[in-house]
Amino acid sequence: MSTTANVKLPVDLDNTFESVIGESPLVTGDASFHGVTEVVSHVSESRHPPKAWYVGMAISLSLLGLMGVMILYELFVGVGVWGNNQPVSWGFPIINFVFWVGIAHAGTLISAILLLFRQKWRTGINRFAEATTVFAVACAGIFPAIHVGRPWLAYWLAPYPNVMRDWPNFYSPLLWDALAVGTYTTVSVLFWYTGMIPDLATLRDRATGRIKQIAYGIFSLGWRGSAKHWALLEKAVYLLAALATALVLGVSSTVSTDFAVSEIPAWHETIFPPYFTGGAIFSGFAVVLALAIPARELFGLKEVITKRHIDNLAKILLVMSSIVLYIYVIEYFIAYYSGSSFERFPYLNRLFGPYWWLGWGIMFCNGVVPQVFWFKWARNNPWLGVAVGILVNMGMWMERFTIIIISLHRDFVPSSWHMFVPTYVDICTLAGSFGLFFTLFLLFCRYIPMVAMYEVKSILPQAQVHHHEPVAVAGEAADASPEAGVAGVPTV
Amino acid sequence: MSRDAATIHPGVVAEPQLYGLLAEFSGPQELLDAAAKVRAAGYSDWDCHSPFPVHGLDKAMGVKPTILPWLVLGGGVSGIVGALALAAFCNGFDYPLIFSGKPYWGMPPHVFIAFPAMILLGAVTSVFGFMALAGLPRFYHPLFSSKRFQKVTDDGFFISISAQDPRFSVRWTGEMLRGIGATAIEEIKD
Amino acid sequence: MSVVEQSISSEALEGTRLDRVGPRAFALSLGTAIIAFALALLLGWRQNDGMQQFMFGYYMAWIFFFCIAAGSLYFLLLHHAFRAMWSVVVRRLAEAMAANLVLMAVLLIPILGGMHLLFSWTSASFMHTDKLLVRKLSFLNADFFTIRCIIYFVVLGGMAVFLRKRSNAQDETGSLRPLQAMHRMSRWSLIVAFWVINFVGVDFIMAIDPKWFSYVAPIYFFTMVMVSVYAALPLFASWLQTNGILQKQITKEHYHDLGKWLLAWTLFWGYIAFCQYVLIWYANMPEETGFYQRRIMGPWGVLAAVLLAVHLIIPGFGLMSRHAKRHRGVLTFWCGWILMACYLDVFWLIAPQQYINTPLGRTAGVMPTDPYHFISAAANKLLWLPLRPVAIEIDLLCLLGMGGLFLASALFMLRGRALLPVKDPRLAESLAFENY
Repeated sequence: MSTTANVKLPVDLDNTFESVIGESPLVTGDASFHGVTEVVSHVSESRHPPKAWYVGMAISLSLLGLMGVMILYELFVGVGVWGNNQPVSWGFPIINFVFWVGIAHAGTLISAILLLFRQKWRTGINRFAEATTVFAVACAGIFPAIHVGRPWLAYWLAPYPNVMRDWPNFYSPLLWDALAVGTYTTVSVLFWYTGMIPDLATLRDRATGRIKQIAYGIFSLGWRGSAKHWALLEKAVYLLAALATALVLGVSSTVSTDFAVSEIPAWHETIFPPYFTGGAIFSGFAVVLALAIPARELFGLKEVITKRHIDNLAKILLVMSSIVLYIYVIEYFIAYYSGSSFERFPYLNRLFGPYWWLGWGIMFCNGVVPQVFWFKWARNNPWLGVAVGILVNMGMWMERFTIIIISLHRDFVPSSWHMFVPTYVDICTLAGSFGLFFTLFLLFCRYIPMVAMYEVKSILPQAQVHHHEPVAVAGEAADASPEAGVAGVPTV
Repeated sequence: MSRDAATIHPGVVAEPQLYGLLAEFSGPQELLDAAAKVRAAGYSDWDCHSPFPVHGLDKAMGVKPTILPWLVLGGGVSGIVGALALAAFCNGFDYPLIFSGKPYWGMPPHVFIAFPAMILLGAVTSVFGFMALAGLPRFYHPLFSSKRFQKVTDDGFFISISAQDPRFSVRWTGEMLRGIGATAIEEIKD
Repeated sequence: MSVVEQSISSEALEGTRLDRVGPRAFALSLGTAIIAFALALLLGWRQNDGMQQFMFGYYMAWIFFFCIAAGSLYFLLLHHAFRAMWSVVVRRLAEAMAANLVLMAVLLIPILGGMHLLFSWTSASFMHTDKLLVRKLSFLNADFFTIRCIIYFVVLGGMAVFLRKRSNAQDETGSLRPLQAMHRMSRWSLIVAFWVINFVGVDFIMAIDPKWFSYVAPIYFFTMVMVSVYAALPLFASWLQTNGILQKQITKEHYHDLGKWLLAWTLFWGYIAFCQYVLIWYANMPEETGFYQRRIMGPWGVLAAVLLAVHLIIPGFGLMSRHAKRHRGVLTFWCGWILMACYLDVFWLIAPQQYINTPLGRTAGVMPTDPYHFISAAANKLLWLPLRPVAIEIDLLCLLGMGGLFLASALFMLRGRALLPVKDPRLAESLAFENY
């Protein structure tokens, strides 16, 4: 089929129907190669973004400013401005760190694991999900840095020869954390950028202004769609996907060791690495779902992020919710099975202690609410999707609060028990991190192709081609050889 | 001035040299079929250009498998070895310390050092290896002078054959390209 | 319901029945099973230990084959729930192995009978020696254990039988209805079966050392199950192909995908095993560390190192290459290798307990040692060797016998049926499947 053939489908086509044979289309509307380019490039080429973009930007920037002020205040006065105390020495910063690192995982998962699983629908949302990864890691990185109190000494983590002739402790999970998160940031940015080069070239070739031409020109590296380059790019992305898949398991597992190598009950659990990874993927998908729905409405991307994409995201959320629910329940079971009163106590404390509403709240938000996606009507209702996405993220933040605060505030000796109450600085810094995330995200929506155009094109039906064995064409090709060309056919 | 004269008196020629021919095809299948035929015709210095990776095109063109995976393997292994050596040197040899009753150099926790180092070096090798092998960034290319070629990042499918190819000739190569279904043919000047 | 017409030529369906191979192989494997079990019983009786050695061998073989059967069921559920296309050609083989869960339920009866030889929690006097153990009696007691076993097999066996029946119905009528029923059922069964397999792990692996608990141990067992099936399935297919069955239908493309999954689950097994080990190693708490202490010291430590190499490192590199997965001979080799490693895993988890359960082992098993001192470790090894009752041949005979029964039963399940779901609407697609 040639590119000029236009396949016009209704934009709002319901392509979620399930059939045991064949697949429904993944791109609606003008499903030609050019149509895809138009729909996606339109977002960054339109003269003005939608009004909602300006409103969102204003709110995000003010929150970002608030975060800046709070961090400066904390740096000048000291970490005493937070609610951290003894025995709860790890407060909001660590909760927020684990929370944001978790959100980062969906992008890597969608781009890497779904690529390895040959899930074609991934192409509509992967760019977008990878962006959430990069921005969420940026948010996460801030918290451990300010939590140490003297961030200008962060280079002490690096193994460099110094006057004291000592070295960092390679047995410390905090060092592993810095390595893992640093690697994650680098690899996410590389992965995101490498997959974006051909699309930046598209914007370069369509750009009208000089500044845009130069900017997109530099970042697209002089891409010219060469088949040899495509083969290399695909190989590089595939290798990055394999590495990133391992990294998805690695990062949250390493974060979990901050807790799990200790001897504090409900921290020292062998399930923590897969638990943190599962929870991270869960919260990440919830964020992608909650952002994809408004974004496709706002920027007119309904043709490439279709109902089926939303439906699939909801299904993944359901699977992840079931996994997280399994982990919650098995934790209670093994704590009971252990027979140890120290293992059992923190779990009873979660459900019936002073923070009981959190213990039950995470069960409800993460384990029960997403189960609504068993029903098709729920998956197909976009605003319900947003609501569930937000509730899940509230639940996941509460889960980190539960793990960190509730396990610490009542330890082995009742005389040292103490409640944790956050201060306004804690709360404003948390709110401010959302400002950072959304500022970056809105900038991304405006200036970078939000959907991987070339990947969407490659899954269109007319892109499916078949290579005939070279033996079959050898005879024909002989006619096209120079000798045959002399035989009196009109010249160019 | 004829092309032959240009080769005899290279310094004299003021007009731009011929880079090669650019032929447009109507779709991915046409491009794939044409690529197989160009290859069968014995050309060696040529390339296909498409807005997305066309599956089977590298096979049809006879592109050799890349050495990139081996480079990445090398990067990953050096990450593991480097990280373990660093940890062993720092905590086990240069400034030995006992942490929570553990041996100076215990393998289990050092996996947490070796693993990210492996991924990091592997990923960096993968990206920069791709750029090096592809010869990118390369901001100037003769093909960019063609207005038509801008479609390559949208919905255009092209084959370019370089004038450096031993089998190249404007007439015969153009003839062949037309014969295998090119919808438009352009001479590209360098 | 409409009947879907497919364009599959009759040529494409050649050699899809067991025909002559079936009865011969059935008789052979059944005969092997009978002889092997007879020998094992005889040798076990000569051990003069109240058949404890035999029971442990039997128990380990049972766990190994249960992993394959339960894994086959989970394979089917996964592939139905996610509507995988490529795996349709091997579906029937997985159905036959999953239906073996019925066989595994029957073979469980001797284990329930010989419970007191296997599980030290059956001894009330032992359980009352420790405060932690006393608290476990509400879960670890013979009655509740038996009830749990019945629940496990009613649920898992029921699923396997349902899938087999629906799949047969699909062959007969060619209607889409059975397939849709399997799809619907797989969605929730995926979750239920996961829970059940995890609890089998609690009862059959974790409870073997009653004091030990690990939060990830059930998932560890689940990965054992999944590794087993992705190794057993290509091996079974390859064996059939060697005998002239399914030769055209299962191509290197299918082996490639099975190989990818095998590699993925092998690495995931390594991940879970490492998480469990490193966290227990690091925290070094007595109620957890004892389990590993008994398994990484003395001769068992050698086995642990071997296990790490043969279950993770060697096959991890061996299967990394695309060519290894696409070449039937090479992939078959690695499948056999990994299955062997899976048995070694079961052996390493279970067998040490036998020596700990005996009065002799109880003293030897908790002997304090310095694990980092090579000389003392070597001395330990020498000291322990005479203390170990060497009866590995009983274990191997049990494995052989159980394997004979397993294969015979799988062949029995496949008798007179096409080895492909011939009326499946996605069969043509699956036959023509290609990786890119």
